[in-house]
Amino acid sequence: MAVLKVPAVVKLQENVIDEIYNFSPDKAPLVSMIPTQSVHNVFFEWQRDIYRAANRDNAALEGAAASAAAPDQPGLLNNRTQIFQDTFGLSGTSEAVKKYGRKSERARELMKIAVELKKDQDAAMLSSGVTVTDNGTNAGKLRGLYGFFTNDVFGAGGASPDPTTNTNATSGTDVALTETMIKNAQQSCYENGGDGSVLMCSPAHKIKIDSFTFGVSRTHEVSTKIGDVQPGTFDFIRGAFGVIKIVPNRNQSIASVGLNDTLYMFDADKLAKAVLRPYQVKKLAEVGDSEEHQVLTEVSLIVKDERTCYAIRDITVSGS
Amino acid sequence: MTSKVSFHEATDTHLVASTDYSMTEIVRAMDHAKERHNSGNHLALGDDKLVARVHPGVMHAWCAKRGVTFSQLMTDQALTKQFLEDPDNSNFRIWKGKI
Repeated sequence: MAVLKVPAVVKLQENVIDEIYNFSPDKAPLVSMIPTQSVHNVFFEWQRDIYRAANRDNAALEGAAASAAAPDQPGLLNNRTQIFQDTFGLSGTSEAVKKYGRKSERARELMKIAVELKKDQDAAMLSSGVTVTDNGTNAGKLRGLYGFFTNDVFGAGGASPDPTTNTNATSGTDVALTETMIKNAQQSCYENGGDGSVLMCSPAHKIKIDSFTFGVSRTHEVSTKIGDVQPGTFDFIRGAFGVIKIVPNRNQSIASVGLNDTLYMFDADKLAKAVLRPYQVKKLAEVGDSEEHQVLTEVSLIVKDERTCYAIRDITVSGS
Repeated sequence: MTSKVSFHEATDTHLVASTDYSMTEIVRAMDHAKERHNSGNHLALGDDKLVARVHPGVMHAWCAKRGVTFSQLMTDQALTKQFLEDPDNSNFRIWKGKI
């Protein structure tokens, strides 16, 4: 018996889920978690001061003369703003036709670009090693955590950055991530006035950290279901110096120095996103039946005192 | 049926971006935390306590409910403690002792 089958049916209606799903829950964790602060220039500076170490032998003779010493001055840190931008053009027809999942193509593009620019900022604020001055040929660039954190551990041949002289860190030989590195990072943050409450890392390094967890639990029976690790989740660990959040960052999956080879420990309140120009949408041109738009923002990063933070550098991609 | 949880987040003053979370992923994370708690394996990084393992969608939902920003939750240790001790989030707790 001849029957009509689906492949032979003319003009079947498409079955498209009428939503645009975006399963990227943490698009830009660093930018999302730090406060915002306004700046008024493309180059800006701030001061940070430090107490001298406690001196238990601070004792004076009774009746002794005293001579005044010149006090130390606060140290200066600086950064530059970076313009993050993207453009899109649309024909009048593309806006008018009925679409699945969105009414306006323009609105969809604006939202998508806003998120993408946020991801770009996140990657730059993590991994940029030095500031770049806009000279008409090279665009201005900000310095990220990679170029700010002077308390760190690195592989053989590596070196710490110096943000006061705009000197980038030197990459060393990649090594495996160890539990001791994380413990030392926490201790360093605490001794220098921080809490080390956030450890930001790549999803692969999050899995490696999870293996440390299992490593100390030999007496417990671990089911296969638990062994199914959750790299997208945030871990809250009560450590010796307070609660530390292990935050996986998808942007640190990118194969680049300062992203997939580095873990950053900091307190989010000791960083800030410096905003010179908030997000703005500019209509570049209206040519006949089409429109061109530019979305841009000009921002930078403030690390109030880099000594309260820590970088674990030169880690292999898998952490092993 | 695909379920999702959506949040709208102000990226700055002019634009608004939406974030969708897969309900399946959230439930999976919850099951994982429950199983981990029941196994008695509550340690992390040596002898430290793994207090909770939370899907970020749950953190965003809690922030929306409490009228605070994600940044405030991540910067304010007292707020972090409230988040972890909120009975609504108990399904994500692994070590359930006092923080």
